[in-house]
Amino acid sequence: MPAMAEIRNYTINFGPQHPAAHGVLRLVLELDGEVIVRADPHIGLLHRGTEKLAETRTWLQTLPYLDRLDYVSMMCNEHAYCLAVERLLGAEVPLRAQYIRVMMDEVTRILNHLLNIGTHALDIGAMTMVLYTFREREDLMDVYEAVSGARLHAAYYRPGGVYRDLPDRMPQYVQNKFKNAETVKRLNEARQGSLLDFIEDFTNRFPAYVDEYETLLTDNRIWKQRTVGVGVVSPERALALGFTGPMLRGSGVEWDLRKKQPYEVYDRMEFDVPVGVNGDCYDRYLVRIEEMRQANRIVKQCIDWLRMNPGPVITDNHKVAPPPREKMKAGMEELIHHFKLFTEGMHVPPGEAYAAIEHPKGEFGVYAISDGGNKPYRIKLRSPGFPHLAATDEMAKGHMIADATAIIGTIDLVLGDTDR
Amino acid sequence: MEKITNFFKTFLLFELVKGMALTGRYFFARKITVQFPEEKTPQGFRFRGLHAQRRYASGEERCIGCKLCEAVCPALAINIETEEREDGTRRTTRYDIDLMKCIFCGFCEESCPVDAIVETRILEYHGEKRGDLYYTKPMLLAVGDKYEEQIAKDRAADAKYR
Amino acid sequence: MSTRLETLGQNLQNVLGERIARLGTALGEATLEVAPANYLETARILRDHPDLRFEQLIDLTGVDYSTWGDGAWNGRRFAVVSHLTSVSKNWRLRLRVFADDDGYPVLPSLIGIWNSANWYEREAFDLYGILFEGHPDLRRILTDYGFVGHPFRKDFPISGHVEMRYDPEQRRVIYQPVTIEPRENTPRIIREEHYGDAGHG
Repeated sequence: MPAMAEIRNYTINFGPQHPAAHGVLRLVLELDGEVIVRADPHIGLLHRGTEKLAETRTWLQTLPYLDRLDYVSMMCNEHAYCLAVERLLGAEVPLRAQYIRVMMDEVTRILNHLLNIGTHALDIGAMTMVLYTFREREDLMDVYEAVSGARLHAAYYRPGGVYRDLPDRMPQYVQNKFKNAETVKRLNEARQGSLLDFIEDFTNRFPAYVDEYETLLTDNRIWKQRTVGVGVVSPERALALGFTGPMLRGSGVEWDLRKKQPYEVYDRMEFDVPVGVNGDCYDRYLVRIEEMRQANRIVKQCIDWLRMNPGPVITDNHKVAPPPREKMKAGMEELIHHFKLFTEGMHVPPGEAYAAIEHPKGEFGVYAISDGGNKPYRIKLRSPGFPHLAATDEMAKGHMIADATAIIGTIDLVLGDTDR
Repeated sequence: MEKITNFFKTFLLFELVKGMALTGRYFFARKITVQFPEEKTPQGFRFRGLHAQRRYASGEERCIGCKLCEAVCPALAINIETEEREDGTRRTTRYDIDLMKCIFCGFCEESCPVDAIVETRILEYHGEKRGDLYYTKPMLLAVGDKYEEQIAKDRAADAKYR
Repeated sequence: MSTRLETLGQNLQNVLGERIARLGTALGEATLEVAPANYLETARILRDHPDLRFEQLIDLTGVDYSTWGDGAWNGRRFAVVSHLTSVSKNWRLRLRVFADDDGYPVLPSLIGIWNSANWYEREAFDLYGILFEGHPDLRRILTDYGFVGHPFRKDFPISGHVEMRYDPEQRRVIYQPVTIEPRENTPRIIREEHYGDAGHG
């Protein structure tokens, strides 16, 4: 009997150093020719054990680690954590702090979607997009920096409110040999007033920018060829696979925690929830574009409210949040609170809480268990990217190898968030 | 009718031309490029960069060795040893910050009751060999002495928020 | 919201009846505890029953209760906690099941009911060593290839047991026992009840 040539599938490594893998994702692809038979993502290359670290840190010390999970939507991570701790404590958050949080969350959402759309387009061939989205990101990064003092790892939200109120001035460009007085004046026009003025100026400009992105991508035939019909997920499958956020809404399920289970002041905001039809990469892209427009609307509403209503931004319960510096330096009791809080930290009553927020990528949840100590007993971080990446196999099966990039891009993958 | 326009749009690469027109417009637009080392983007007043130890106007170091920053540091980057001086005040004999561990969360500055340890607006510093970024007390004080004016200005401007 | 929580509690009582080991609500969240024997069946009912309809498994995690409250714990050691969401009914539920054997914790896998359990169970296996019966692909997921131990167990030190470095003599990366000294600036403290309440300490 003549020996049949044995045909074996070809296995390749996609990543961990692949530029389109969005970090350190190792994707083992089993190929039949150019068609993906099986996709097996190997994660954990960025696993830092944040949950375990949290068990040896006080409740406050854990907070900056949350920034480092999803490092493109920092404040949203902090938000979920603060909500969980506040629920356990039963702490009241001042209304102004809630508005600031909602505003910064939406700024973060725009930041995240800008990065996602820019890099997704870059991955599948549209080089220019990322240049334009990063131009807008720069403005929002300035907002982050003015508010918190860091462009990425903000550590701005605290259990009980936010760290400081919004600043009343913005840093300005200075004249140099590349920029003359006139140019500098033009650049500084938006920076004359407070931070709120700066953001408002941005929100006025932003819809036109989104139109530009749409001009470049929405009707573009190459973009459509690469995304329409790729990575289709039916609504039923999306639910079974644990999809949330734009991934779920792209499949046509209208589910947005901001509407359905409103937290903070989202019930006072007017905005629409975009929903896709086909559940492919293109629909998810459209959902994200529309979400940016809606986020812009929410930011505007927050600015209007924040202008009118000054007030405290952090709780005056000094068992939870430190007293203001002025008082700490003048009063004995405040000084004791200050010392207690920064050494021993706050004590959280025994119990468990799961707080979820509508993170730009999906549902980000923090499941906190406290045994009454000054440190968490267990923190479980429910990252949106984890189940999405787990579904890569199902989404990529039967597609060409080039579509793997499109699918990874549409997941909005950030490995810091998936690996924790 | 729509079908016909769509046909012509597709045939004439309408949407591609529109995209090209957009990028073309930006090709001739004023550039937003920042020539980095020579010029910089505006830096926030609350920026958290390299650490510094401050002194009072009299030249006396501010740090009283209360170790709050050591306790609150999430990354355990700070090491402090203290001793009583001859004049009866308590001061640090060792104050080290391992910048390789530091996560720049700003908690040390927040916790300091005498505004001794601060995070300055310096972000351009480097080390050339292992251990270069292990900042000891004299190094931190030197940073503080050099940039005291800026540090004090930023703190004063932000005082009402803290 | 509270009335919805009550409706959920009532529906759970009606539908599950004796399968409930414990059902409680706290901080606006419902928690259901079941015995491992009823786990799979309960999960199926939770998903399919028209009065419950939990279509989504949002989260699944292992918990090691061995050092809870500095030795105040006297139940089973390992639990698997899952968070369920119903998109159609708009409610949430926490489902907890304790593994019978502390030394060799085994629980049935939920993968046939909610597919999203796949990676979550791999994670719980990796970090806590909880085995899931019926899981088709129970590999480690987050830790390194060839990792020994289950790092999130409370008896696993935060610094781990081994560290990795490049050995110039052998010209390869080697593993060696950890050399970092453990350091803890703030000890773990549990105060008595009502500590920090208004008018108390």
